[in-house]
Amino acid sequence: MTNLFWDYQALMYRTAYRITREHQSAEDLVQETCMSLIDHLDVVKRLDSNRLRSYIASVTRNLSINYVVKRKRRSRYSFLTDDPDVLNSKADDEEVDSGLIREAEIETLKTALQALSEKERLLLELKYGDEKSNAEIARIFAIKADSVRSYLTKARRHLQEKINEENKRTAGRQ
Amino acid sequence: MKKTSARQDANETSLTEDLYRELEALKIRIAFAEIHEAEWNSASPNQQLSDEGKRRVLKAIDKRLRRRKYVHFAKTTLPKAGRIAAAVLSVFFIGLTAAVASVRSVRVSVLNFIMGIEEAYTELGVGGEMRDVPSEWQGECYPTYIPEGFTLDYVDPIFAEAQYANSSGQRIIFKEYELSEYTNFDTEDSSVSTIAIQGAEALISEKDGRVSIIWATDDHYLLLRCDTPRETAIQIAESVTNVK
Repeated sequence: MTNLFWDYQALMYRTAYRITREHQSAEDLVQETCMSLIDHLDVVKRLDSNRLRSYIASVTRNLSINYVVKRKRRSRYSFLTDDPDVLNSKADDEEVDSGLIREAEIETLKTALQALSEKERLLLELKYGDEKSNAEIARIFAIKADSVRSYLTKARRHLQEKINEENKRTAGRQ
Repeated sequence: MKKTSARQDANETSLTEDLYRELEALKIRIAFAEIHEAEWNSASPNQQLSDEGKRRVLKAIDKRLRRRKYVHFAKTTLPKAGRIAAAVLSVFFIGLTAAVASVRSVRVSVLNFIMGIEEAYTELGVGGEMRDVPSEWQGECYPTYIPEGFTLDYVDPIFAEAQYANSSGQRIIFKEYELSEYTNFDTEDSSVSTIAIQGAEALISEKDGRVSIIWATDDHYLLLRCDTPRETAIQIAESVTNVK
């Protein structure tokens, strides 16, 4: 476990700091992540190095978001509330044309994801990177599952726009 | 026929849509994996814990791991063979802490008495060296006798552990624990008995060629694990001295 700490402490710290933007909180969250890993050593031992890195980053991410939500620093995530305007909007998965995302090159997708706001990137990261269900994401952010669905749809729509922009930029260069 | 065909078409379209959705999710997942990989490889050395932060976390890790070991010890090893031995140690420890006189002076007197009447015992062993305490060692006690052929392999200053190894891969491990903490002392399928180490009651366990000895001083539990004969392990334990 000590070796694991030395190998991944930088990853845990950077992940926590990216979300909390506080040095002391990031250090506390690294400690909390380590405690969580010890409590789930049976899972940790089964993972190869690549999956282990993703698992550790995922645990740190979840704990960091929980921390921020609990400390009521909602200003950083002010849009992640059960906003009736969002809930009542016509955000519907079926209305978002998936063609652009599906056909985009990985490099274009990476550029587009990194161009999103941090909040939207984080949402998509939890959904697709960590494969969390809407219910799990709702629990992490302490909002309703319906809100998660709407925010995800909005995030995917913005992702489409970024892909479009990137495709035009790339086409303009050729 | 038409209805069946239309239903088949609808099913295939639905399957295709499901596959496209999976493809989209997979592509986003791959993109995130590559973004993380690039971030991981490009991070600067400043993006990590402070030295104090590292120390704090390592201490917390040790505490949590020891608690896990104690729980494991209590659930598995203790019910099997350790109850009596643990009771002996506990009674001994309670007696030790209840002593009115200086415990250290009592222990030294007893040690001298034992060494006096068991002189022949100190001549046992295959010969060894009086070793210096490693400079990184932060514990209170340390063995001054290590058998010939064993060299210092590892010292952990934070968790007070030292390891020696010889060319055959055999090891000698010495660890110091706080009295409030427990350690996993494996007595399952092993021969367990009590002996005296420096006047203190100790548990000695032998299993698969490894000898483990655990005993208490005024302030600590000391654990010795040796891939050596029993007599050699006892000799090493007897050489443990207060170095602070």
